[in-house]
Amino acid sequence: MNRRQFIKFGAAGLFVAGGLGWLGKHFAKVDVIAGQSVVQPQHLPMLRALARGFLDNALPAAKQTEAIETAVNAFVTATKTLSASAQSELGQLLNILENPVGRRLIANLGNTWEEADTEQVQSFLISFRDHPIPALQPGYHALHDLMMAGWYGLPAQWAGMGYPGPPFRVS
Amino acid sequence: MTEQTIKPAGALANNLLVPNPFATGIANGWKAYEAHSRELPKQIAADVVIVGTGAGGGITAEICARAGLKVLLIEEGPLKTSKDFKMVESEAYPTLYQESAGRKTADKAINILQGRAVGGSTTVNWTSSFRTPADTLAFWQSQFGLKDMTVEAMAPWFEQAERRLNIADWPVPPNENNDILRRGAEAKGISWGAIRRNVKDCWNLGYCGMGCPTNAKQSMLVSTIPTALEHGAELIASLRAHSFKISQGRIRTLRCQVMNPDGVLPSGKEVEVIAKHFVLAGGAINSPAVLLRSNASDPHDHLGERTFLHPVIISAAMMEQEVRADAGAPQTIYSDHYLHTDPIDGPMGFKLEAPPLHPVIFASTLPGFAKKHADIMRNFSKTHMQLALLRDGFNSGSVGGQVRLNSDGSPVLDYKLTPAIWEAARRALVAMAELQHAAGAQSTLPVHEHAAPANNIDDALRQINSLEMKALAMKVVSAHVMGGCAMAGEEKLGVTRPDGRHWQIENLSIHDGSLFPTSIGANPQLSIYGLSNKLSQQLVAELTGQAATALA
Repeated sequence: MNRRQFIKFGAAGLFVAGGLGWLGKHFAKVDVIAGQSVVQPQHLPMLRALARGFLDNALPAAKQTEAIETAVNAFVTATKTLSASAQSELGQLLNILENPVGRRLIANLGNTWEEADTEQVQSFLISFRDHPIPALQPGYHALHDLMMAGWYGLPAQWAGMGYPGPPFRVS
Repeated sequence: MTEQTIKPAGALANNLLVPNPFATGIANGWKAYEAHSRELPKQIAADVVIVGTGAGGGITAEICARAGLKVLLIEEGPLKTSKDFKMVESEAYPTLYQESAGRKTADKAINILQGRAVGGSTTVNWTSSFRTPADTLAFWQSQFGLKDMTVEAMAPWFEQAERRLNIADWPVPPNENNDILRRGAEAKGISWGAIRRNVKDCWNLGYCGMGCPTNAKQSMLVSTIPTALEHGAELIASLRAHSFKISQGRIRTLRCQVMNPDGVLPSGKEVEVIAKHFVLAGGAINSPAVLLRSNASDPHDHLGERTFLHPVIISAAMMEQEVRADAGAPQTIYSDHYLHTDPIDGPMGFKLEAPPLHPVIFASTLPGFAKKHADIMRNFSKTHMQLALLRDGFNSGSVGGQVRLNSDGSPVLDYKLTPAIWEAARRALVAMAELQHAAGAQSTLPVHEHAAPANNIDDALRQINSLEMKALAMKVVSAHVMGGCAMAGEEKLGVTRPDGRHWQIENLSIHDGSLFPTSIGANPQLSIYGLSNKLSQQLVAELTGQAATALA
């Protein structure tokens, strides 16, 4: 990190440190209800933007909107079987990122998720991953792992990677 | 590769070709069921209650049930058998693993793969079978007062377990992923060996990690648990052991929670269990957690501490040829060269192995996103991977982690990645890149957020030496959780006595990987089988006054 980045991130870091109390107050623990996902309808535009940012070149050229919807659905499915405490934390993270103030505090994304283009989403991802406050960085990894696990768990992706799938179907 | 060759081979009714001991057993009256499938009585009684059905619980169940004791097995995970094992990650991980294969340390820096199903981790492990190494046993003798744990004294217990579980040399040539490790070791002139496996009539499929669809793997699910059930044991799955009620140094009852069918939350229904003797075999992290929730006596503050992980560092290599690490027996070659270059309590040594790769685990482990990630994914079938399992718990800079409880009572492991671990991680990356380039890799990639593929060994070494070793940037995973209820020859040094009995609670034994006072330095399943065999036979002799029947 050079000096300029340090000042920029350092300042952002202090801001976030001060903001964490505010975040904690407004985005308290999310209750996990049996059989329901912590992903709420208001999170979906954000998850679509994140899917575009994460997968980008992995998405098919044709029917991209449908592919993004598929990726988001796979993400949501993957969240449902996480431990209750992990689901609760994820719900809190999604609430923070979906909120304009939270989003700006975490990684300085000024646009709404619908407005953000792929490049902006990707620079958000990098800032989030490399956040000067180490305690915030796992949030990036949670999104990464769920998005990648969801997408590449879909049999439609396997042929493109030279994976034939299971040797036979168990019936 | 053509469309033709990558198409699945079609449907196969494995229930016709592969006998399923559970299907016939249950039809013939085995008492094995899911807690949520029926109304349970308020209280259940047994001679011996075993919490957990993995390596420790399974062995204990067979030995106790064959001795005529009334055994009750309690398993938090579901009862799934070969008919459910579809070789599909998106089904296997949520059903068969702790926390949907997403269990993490407190700082989220280490992802932990641990089983949660009938059979525990033995249902999903990769079949690697090693006896506890001699230098590990010697360390336990000298540091933890475990005087009787010599190679010679342990040998008969291991031999029985090996016979019982068909642990033997694997006669089939290694898959390409493992053979690259062998060729790299040959080229560098370092020692390597072939891994013994606990399989019978194995089809060499490569899906051990998703539950064996052919019942070839001699996991607890198809070996000791069926034997215990045949001898009248009762098995209740999807039932979480919550806490013991302890008074005057004795467990009075065990409170259990019925889990919902999805395994995420308890349903609200509870059962109380009473027994003459309790055996905790929930595995490291979970066994200490039951005791923490029980406010169990811990006068020397050892409960849950020194929990070890064999932190795993990963190096990928892009090969010219097809590797297909998804197919064939998952782990068949290893190298212990780097476990023996320094004294055991010196700089941390590491064991080298090659893991199976499948799309979900590969994609979520691989750092980065967009093009960088997608390019490597496209090269999946030509990717070879090596793992370095760091031997933690021997060096003064590696004291393991501490199990704590979250506010909802669920366990979490607080494990610090210390400078001693990072120093070893860098050495491990160097060793793996050297082997991979020596075996003809076109490029190698340390699995680190800021690494890029290196096209030759010089570039690889330059990059490895400049990588920042810190949590979350350097990927660290674990599939071996050990310690937290360490056995020791003196009360002040551990949680359990050398015979597995709790130092402060008279009717409690612990039979699982949480007993180990350090990590093992090898895949731990056979260490758990051998030790649980010894401890269970001693326990049976004490409880019944009769010698136990040998395991095999």
